[in-house]
Amino acid sequence: MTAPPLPPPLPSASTSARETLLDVAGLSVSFPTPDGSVRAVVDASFEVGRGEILGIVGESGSGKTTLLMAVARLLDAPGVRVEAERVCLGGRELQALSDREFHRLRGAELSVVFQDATSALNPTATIGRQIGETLRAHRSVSRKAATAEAVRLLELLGVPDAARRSDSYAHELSGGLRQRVMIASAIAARPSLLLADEPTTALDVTVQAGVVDLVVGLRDALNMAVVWISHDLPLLATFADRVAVMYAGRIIEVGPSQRVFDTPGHPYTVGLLESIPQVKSAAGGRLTAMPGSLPSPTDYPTGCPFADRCAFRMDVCAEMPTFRSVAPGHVAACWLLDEGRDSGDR
Amino acid sequence: MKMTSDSLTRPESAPLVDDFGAASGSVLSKMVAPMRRLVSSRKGKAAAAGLAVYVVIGLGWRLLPLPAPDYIDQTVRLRGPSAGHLLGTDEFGRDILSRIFDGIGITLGVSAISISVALVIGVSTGIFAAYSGGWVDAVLMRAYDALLAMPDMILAIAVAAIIGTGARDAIVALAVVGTPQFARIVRSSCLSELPKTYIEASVSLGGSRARIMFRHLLPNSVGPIAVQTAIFGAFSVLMLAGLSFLGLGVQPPAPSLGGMLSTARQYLATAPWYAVGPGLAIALLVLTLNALADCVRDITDRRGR
Amino acid sequence: MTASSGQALLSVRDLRVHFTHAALLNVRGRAKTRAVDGLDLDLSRGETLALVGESGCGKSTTGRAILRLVPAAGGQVTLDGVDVLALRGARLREARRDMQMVFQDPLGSLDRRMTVAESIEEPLVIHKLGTPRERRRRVRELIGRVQLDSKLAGRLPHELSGGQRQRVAIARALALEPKLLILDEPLSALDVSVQAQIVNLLLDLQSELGLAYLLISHDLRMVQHVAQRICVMYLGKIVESGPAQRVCDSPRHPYTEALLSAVPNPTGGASDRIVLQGELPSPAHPPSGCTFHTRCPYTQPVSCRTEVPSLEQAETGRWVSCHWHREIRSGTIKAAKRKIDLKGLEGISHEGVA
Repeated sequence: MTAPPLPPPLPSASTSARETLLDVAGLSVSFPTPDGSVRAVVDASFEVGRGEILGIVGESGSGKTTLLMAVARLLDAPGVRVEAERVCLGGRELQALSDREFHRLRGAELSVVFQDATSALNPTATIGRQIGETLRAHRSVSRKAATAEAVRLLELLGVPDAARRSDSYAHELSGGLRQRVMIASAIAARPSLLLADEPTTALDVTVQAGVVDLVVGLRDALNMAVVWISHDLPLLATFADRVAVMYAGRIIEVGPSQRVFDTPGHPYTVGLLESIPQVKSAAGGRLTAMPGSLPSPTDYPTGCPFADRCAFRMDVCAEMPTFRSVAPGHVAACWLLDEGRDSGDR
Repeated sequence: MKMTSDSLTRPESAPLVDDFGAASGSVLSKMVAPMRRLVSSRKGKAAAAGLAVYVVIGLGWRLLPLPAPDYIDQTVRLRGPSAGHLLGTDEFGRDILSRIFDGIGITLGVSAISISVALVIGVSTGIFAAYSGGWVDAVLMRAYDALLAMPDMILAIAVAAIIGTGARDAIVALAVVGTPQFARIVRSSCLSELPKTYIEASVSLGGSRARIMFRHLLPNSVGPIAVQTAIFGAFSVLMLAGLSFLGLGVQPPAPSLGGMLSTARQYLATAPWYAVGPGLAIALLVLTLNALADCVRDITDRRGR
Repeated sequence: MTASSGQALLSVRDLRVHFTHAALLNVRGRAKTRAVDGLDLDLSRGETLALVGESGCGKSTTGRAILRLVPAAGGQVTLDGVDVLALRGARLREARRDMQMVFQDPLGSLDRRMTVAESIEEPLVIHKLGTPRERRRRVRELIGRVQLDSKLAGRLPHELSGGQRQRVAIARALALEPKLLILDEPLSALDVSVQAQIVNLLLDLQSELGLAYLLISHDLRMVQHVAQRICVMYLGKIVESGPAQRVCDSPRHPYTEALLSAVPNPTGGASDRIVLQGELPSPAHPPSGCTFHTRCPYTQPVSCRTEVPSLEQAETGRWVSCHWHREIRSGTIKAAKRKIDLKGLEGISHEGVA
């Protein structure tokens, strides 16, 4: 079956002041399962500017984590297939790099922070050594210097009693501290892009606030771009520059985060926001819940994947919509945005 | 397959015998699917077929037109394979083939019974120890540890030496070796299930100890139990053969595969065919059971059941 | 602390739950963690009371202690006039019919070898209610009540979605017609859109069946929407309680204030967020005096470190446990602000990769 045409390049959806650092176009990920071929990511395209924070929001099964892992080349399920038109970091096409070359990028240009700090950290090495390891992998520094720098980083990142903590092991720290350690380790070599997969989902809300502030501060200090995955759209709206909404493996809406939060363009985003009680809203009463559930990933419909659950479904939705403009810099893939316009052209 | 959690089906229109009939399935009906998976691979088919052959032989060999296994005829001592004696005769002129078949029957019987005993005692004490915890668990497990500390064959020999020889005592010896193994495996499985939320949920619903042990812990340990059963099956056949070989298992004049092997040693130069039959019979049975154990392990691994 | 209206269905007084560490042998004896340290609450029929706090505050332990799933070290739990903590054996089993729990992990709370119908039927079987035919009818009715497709009755938990599993768990909890449902983070394992469906279901069930809910949660947004009253917990104690709306609009306790300001609010103005310093202390070694003083932005040299504050009534129906809550309210005492300074990072230059 022919893939729907790529969306046109999105100069309007990216922040004009920033130079593009990460440019992904037409990325698809699929892998075989006993129940059929699962299309985890379908034709995803997005850009991240230098020093920009892009949030990717979606529920489980939306493909957001798989997308991130594909960019970071961390997918290793058997039989997984990653295809993309373009995956460029700083002008360099990443798909052309060998595994060794790509490996050298890690830490220095591109770093990943995971949701579960416990399993991402080595339980048998002290945290000072782990952070130092990243440093020594990318620069020729002595072990002593690396450990000293690690302590300095921990201090800066708000870990109390850093010198002593540097000698502790991961399991001796609380969740919030472990996450800070992971972040310290990730930025030790000052990468230009940080990929974060739900880094605060498992943390308490007060701790989450601290980590968010930390990452924003790091972006400001290092001009580091961040791609932050979350299921929490209001959270992303408070600090991300732009946000992309994913559903059933596709990116269905992109725009400035505050704008997407205030005036969402895609019915799914609308439904998502209506499902969340806002802190200062009137209490009691039912929430507007979206009916139905996600389509099965082995069996996505050919048209718009949200059509079955959409209150505004039309006949034309049997065809996958391309991105349409909601406002300057804000696009969504929905035929509704065509209202009033000639639907004859495609 | 789309499931809409919002759809509501009116209870009145539902037929009386509906999914509920199939839903609360009996124990046997829940075994159908795994059994089918077991024989889906080539190894599974071969193992199942092999075991079936042995069982058929063990149960039905008397229907075959064979000489009686205990019929002594000194005139045909240690003859090679012939029309009347397909595998030859032993030192008393008895037909080797029929003795092998009889021996298979006895072996299967002894194994089956000792597995059953070890399973029942081992599983129930294992669950009980896991659930009780504390000193009950400690005492039971130390007792089992003591038994497990000895190499199996030595332990079996020791038991046989204490309680006597013969098929019945061999069953006891094998059960003594097998029970701690079952107990340990089951206890381990139960310990990993106990902290899980559904156990807590059952307590909050008012579930009694017995209910939790036998309605929740036991079914969720079926996987490891099945694997252990298959492993112990192969194991018990080998051990019984070993005991009989040493003269501690099944006693003459009853035929035993191990015993025949032992006797055949003396006649290796003059009647080499004597050893081949029993040896192959043991080897193939153990191989079949091991293959079966592999298949059981494979199917439990995938679903974790 | 009296209930808001009517006679209290559930009344908890001075509940204490302690965990001892067998491994730690210090001079004074075994180390003890006071997971719940003297807790009072009241819940009326048909009301939703939320127990809110972060990990380690003891809210889940409170719920479990009420249900006798963990042993209580002291205190009283009265359900409809019966002291639950004093019951044993058959009488305890009898009392369990009135109070049930819906757990955080829908998949884990269901026996993976039991079908939907079997799981829902289990409480009826345990309490020997009805003939098999009557039980089946009741199961069918319950499946309909939680808006689950009856075709799913024969399915196993792993064949269902998260929302469906939670519906099964709710149906099972309702089977015995309880008066009180303790919901232990019932939504946190579910997707946002599914959360809304389940919340609606729970609200509907509450009005149909007159259930009282004790909602244990860390999600302030959801709690503020659903609960009539809130109790905020910190390290085993309640630090503030009152009507949900009022507590969230104008919190009186510094911790509540920090908690609320940490909830992402894109519609608010520039974030004047209160960032708590330090880490959550270990429940095994709580700070002296007011346990919150190590992280409190309003902490004062007098009292905070030395005296344990008690719950006082700040207004009708609102209780706060803070030495200085009046001064904080009137503005006499201000919060100390903290900002993250990361300028030091620019020090080392970035060497490019070959």
